[in-house]
Amino acid sequence: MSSSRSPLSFKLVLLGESAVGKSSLVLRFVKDQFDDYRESTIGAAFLTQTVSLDEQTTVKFEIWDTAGQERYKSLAPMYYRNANCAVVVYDITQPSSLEKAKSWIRELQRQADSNIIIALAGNKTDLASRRAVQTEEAEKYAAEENLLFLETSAKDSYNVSELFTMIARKLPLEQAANAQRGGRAGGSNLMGGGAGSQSGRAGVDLRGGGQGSNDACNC
Amino acid sequence: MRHRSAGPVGEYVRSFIKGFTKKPYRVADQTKLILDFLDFISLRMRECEVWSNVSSTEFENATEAMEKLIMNRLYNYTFSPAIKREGRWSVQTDDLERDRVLKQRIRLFGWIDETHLDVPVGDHSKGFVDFAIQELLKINHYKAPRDKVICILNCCKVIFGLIRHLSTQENADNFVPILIFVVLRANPDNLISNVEYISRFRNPERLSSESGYYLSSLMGAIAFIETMDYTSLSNITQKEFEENVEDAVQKMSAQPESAEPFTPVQFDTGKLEAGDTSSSPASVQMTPQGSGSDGEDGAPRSPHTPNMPNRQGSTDPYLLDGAGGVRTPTDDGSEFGEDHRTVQESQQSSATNAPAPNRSKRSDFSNFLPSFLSEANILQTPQTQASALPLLKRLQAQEEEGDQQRQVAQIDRAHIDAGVETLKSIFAETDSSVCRLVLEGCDGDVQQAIDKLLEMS
Repeated sequence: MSSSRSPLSFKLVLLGESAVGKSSLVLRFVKDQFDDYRESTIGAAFLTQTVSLDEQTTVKFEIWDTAGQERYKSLAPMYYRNANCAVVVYDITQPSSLEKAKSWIRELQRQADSNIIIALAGNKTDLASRRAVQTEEAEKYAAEENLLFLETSAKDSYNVSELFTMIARKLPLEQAANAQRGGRAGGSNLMGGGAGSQSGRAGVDLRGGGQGSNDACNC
Repeated sequence: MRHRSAGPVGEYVRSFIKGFTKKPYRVADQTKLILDFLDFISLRMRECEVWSNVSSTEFENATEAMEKLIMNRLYNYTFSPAIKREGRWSVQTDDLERDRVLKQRIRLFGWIDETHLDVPVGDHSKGFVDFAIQELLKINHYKAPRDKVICILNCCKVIFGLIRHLSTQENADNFVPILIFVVLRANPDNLISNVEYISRFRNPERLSSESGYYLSSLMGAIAFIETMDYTSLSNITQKEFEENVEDAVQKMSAQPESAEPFTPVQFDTGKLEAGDTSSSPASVQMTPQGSGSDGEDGAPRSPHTPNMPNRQGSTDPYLLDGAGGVRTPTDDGSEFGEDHRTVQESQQSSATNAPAPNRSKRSDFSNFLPSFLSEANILQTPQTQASALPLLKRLQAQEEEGDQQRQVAQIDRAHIDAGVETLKSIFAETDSSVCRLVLEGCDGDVQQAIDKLLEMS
């Protein structure tokens, strides 16, 4: 809220089976790619990172990690609610993890915000010799489902920042700019901005404040 | 002249509280009224001279303080267990019923241990878990939504302390099971009421990012517990699960004096008894540390309205019919007027002398907050703490002062002692005197002391 130039924030939810490397992917993105990495205040299950698309445009991702174990599947809706984008990760050496990813994607398409941008990431390309999911197969699936797709390696830092930049470019930046700036005006520092919309709100309770409002004009 | 500029704000606040407490609004309307009013009042505050020159961080703090002020006043009208305790209005939500069901359900799961949730165990992990439990239990000691959120965040921070301590990966895969385990072991009173209250009344903008993540995680943990069966757990068969639950039922019905009447395993009980202990914040089982350091709710309720300096006469009626409460001895109009002026002056001097924090005022205020609530500690940037919250800070202090001021010294000592004990439980090999030194070095801030000791170990 400190200035009107603060970057636009987007909520990104991270889904995928345990051990596909989804947190490593994000840690790689958050720690390596840019200089302004800042330790999270609580813990690394929630991280933020900004991406500069050009001189004027900076996108801030708020990255929500989810537990990948099957038994915690029912918690996921708490996390992807209101998410602007999702990264669904599988492990290219584990075909079952792609199946799991597909089931997450189906769920997102059914339950999440209809405008959510979904990216599929085939992680662990560093283990090429053990590859069990062919690139073409996943690519074809992603195309059919209208997903962004990249193969990545958190370990080798391959395609990691590309993945997030790709998502950033797909985000509805202008729309969000209006919405987020508007919100700020109501919240604090732009006195004139939100004033009009405020009159009449909370009217029920402000009788007797009339006197006060005259005073307010004098200061 | 200067201090008068804030007058209208106080006037608006009083009118709003008076209007709000006149009749029971629907919950959704309560939320809208409060959030709209906070938006509105922040604009009015910006127009006041007092806040016209402060940095945006300082101003944000002032709006935070305003949220706290309003919600402290309206707590008995908005927090379901408090509405019920007051008995003025009927509770419109199912919060209390859900609280009761959850509370009872968790009591059936007292036998669940780390292995059932794949929670890693290592040296000192019990200390961390106990500490996280204590932090979570404090949620009932505070009224303001932000303060309740901070209890949740502190709990989560301790959990991450454990994760780091055990050198496991810091991610949701490891965090969520421990959080569930902590919730099961803590079994806080009014957990659902608290979570709902936060979602309803915490400024949504400030509930969006990190706080939102951890609140959602807690909601997830609750949802998990609400639906948990043997398939949700590791290392247990259906038979064992059922036997354990059966045992728990037996034990619970064998100790009727220990708690509310028990309704057996099905949780869809339509008729729930009124007046059970779980719905009253006053019955919180406080941990030694909790009760010693920050029992805001422990003090007698004093829903007084601070007098604004030049409106002493006209505000008295508000005190009577608006809040209906009894003033505490410290809440004296003239005294407030004086304090108020002092703050104005110091505010001005700090404004002219660059951003030098007003130390005396700040430490004054911090007496009323437990140290780990102090903003520099876990959540906020140092500037946040350094900035004075001019008028509101005073209002807030007045609000919370009451008897507590007299007990501050005592509480400080108790807090340090309890803190040392906590540290000792986590760092068993570290000498008590070292724990004490580190803790005192951190101004009694247990969180910070843990971080320090972790670095040392």
